[in-house]
Amino acid sequence: MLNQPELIHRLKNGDPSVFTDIVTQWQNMVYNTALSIVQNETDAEDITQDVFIEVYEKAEQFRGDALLSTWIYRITINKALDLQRKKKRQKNGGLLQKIFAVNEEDEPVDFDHPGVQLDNKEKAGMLFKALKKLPENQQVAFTLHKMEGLTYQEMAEVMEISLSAAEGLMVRAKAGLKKTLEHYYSIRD
Amino acid sequence: MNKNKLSLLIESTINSMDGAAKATPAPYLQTRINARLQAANEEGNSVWERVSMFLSRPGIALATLAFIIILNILLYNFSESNGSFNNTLQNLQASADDNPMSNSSALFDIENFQP
Repeated sequence: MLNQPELIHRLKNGDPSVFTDIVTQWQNMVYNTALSIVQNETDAEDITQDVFIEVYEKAEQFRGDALLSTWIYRITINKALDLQRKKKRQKNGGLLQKIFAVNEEDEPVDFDHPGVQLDNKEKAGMLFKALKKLPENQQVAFTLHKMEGLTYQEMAEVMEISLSAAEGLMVRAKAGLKKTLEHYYSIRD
Repeated sequence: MNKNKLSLLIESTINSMDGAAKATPAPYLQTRINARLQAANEEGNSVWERVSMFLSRPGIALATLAFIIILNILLYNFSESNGSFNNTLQNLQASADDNPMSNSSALFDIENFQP
């Protein structure tokens, strides 16, 4: 495998084989991160394509002061959050939709992560439903740390925050999830 | 559900993605990306083509139209509030009154010099 400077140099020169290597190496990472945020497989696929197209088109702008994977994570998160905001705006947009909207607690668990084992499906569904209720930065922190397995340091670099801020975000994310899940489980019983 | 049981349930829910397999995108992702890149390259390489495409987007065109309408309304309101339009008319009228040669009634008076 090529080292990062060589990879970037060849990507900037438009070497198609290097671009293929980059897609192969990071497609699962991009897809899974996007999937955890947008919670829809088709949307996650579209984001994955968009991310790699941006990587190809903006390779010139990559300064190389961060890891290539960090840069790709940032692009993925921005695109996933953009789509999530757009969908929220569409959902909250119409007056009629507001009048006839279903109470959010009554909404069914609508995302079934393909990687979860059968005995954990219900819990994972509840987790994703609760995750949607978190503020964006906490949602991203939880996704990167718990789903993607990034360390706090790596997470801080991707999110361009300090290490202590990253730790604080995770604490708040877990507390928020606990509160939301407690509410879900108490109204379910 | 008692508090202890609920607490354990919540904890296991939060950790429910631990050890989950990674999802994989549909096959031919690379082919699709390459096709999109090729289409984008063929679509328009020139700056002007990109600019015209940007300006012809419905959102941008509508926003420009709305901006022009709002600008018109603001300018009209501004001139109304300053009374510049009315003042101009009044000034014209005043200057016409001061200069009898410039209005038709004065000319009539001169021509009909006999009472």
